[in-house]
Amino acid sequence: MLTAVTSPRTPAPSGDELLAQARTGSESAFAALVREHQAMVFGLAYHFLQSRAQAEELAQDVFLALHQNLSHVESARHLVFWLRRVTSNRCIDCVRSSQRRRELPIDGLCDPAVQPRFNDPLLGELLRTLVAELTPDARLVVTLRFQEDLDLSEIASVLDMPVNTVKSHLRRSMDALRRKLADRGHVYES
Amino acid sequence: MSLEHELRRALSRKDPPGGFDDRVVSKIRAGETARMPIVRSRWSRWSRASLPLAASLMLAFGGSYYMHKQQERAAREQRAQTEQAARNVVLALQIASEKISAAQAKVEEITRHDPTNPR
Amino acid sequence: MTPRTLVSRCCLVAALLIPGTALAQGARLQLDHLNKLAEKATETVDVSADASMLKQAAGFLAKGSDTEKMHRLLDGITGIYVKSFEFDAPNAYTESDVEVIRKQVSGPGWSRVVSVREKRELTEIYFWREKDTSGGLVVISAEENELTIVNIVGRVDLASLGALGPMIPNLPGALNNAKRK
Repeated sequence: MLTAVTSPRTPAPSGDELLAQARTGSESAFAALVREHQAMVFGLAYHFLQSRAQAEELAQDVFLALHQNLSHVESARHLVFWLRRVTSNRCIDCVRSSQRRRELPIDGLCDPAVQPRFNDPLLGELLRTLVAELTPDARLVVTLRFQEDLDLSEIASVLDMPVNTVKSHLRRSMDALRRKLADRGHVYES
Repeated sequence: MSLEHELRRALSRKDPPGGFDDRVVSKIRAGETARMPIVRSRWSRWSRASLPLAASLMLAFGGSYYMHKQQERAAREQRAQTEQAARNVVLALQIASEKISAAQAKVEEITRHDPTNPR
Repeated sequence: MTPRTLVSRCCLVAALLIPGTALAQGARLQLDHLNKLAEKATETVDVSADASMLKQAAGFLAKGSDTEKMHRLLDGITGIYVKSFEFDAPNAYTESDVEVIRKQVSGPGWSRVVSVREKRELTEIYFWREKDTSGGLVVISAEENELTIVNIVGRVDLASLGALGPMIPNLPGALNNAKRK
């Protein structure tokens, strides 16, 4: 009688395991961490800076910083918090150091990597443009709320900001967005 | 579709251009480091664990190092106070602006719809 | 109930076009009686910025195209005082809380340029003008769940201030609310 024995498939390492391996110097583990979190980091940077090139530069810098500070990241959950916080701080530093004029991302509209995936690409682009016109802190609050689906206290933790300030930024930003959208014919009730 | 729903779609996570992880790893192999200073995570136990080491270092480098650090801290605190003052002012102006523009909008709306209002 | 509105549109237009003139200390209101509302509020903003704090703030804002509007605004202002309270439920403040403010702006030098009353919302803007003295501005915004008083002392360009909106440049780093505990 023949029996077939199949060895169980090795499950993918958990976030904590990857982190532990990366700490020991495993390049592949670190690369896996990058792949796992790159959309979050790049997304935050892109929505803040509205430039793919600058967002990639910032995102790369965040992961370089992570590599230098792996010993300070305590768990997979902490890693997510750490990445959000460092990315947010880097975004603010960008505004501070460059005092750049905000440029509309003409290249982003054509690039498939950032092609909007919904029915009305113009509305999405309009929303992103309007969000990019918010003050830096408000922009971060809105992006963390709607990209990461964080609640107010989580946003407050990431940005080291009082909860009521987060609430105020969100409320004022939503009011401003509604007004600006209404001016352009898109009416949303509050 | 609510605005919140549209914002979730518009602000969804975005993948960077392909090969991003390879480029990061290449930079690490090349010895590149992060360009800007790190903001230490508040979960870090660095400060508690390293206090004895910090004290030893201070003794090793003598009083002048300590004074330098004190001056740096004072300057940072002064800067933080100034920054906080500026934040307060910006916040106040934001609120004032919001209320004034809301009042203007109400006036215009009412005048548009109510012909008895003086122009 | 039909909304009752009083609109002094000509005055508003005039106020927008003419920069505020110089003024005395009379443009500064007493707002401390509102402090008690902080205990009931879910969100409080309390800013009291005198001339020296404004000078510090202006110095801190780096010169640039984004902050130019702010610098121009701050140029003529000698004091900014804001008390803003947001509540979970209506009736957290009383009519008399607002009347104390309105009494102060009914004195000489003050003129009301906007008054909009709708159902349970009141928005009023007052301007201080006196020959050869700095100007001043008061905004009273009283809604069901929010009370905001803004008092600006000095030369104020109402049009520029109104045009700032939430789209004004912010300072680096997380903005901590100027909130009293």
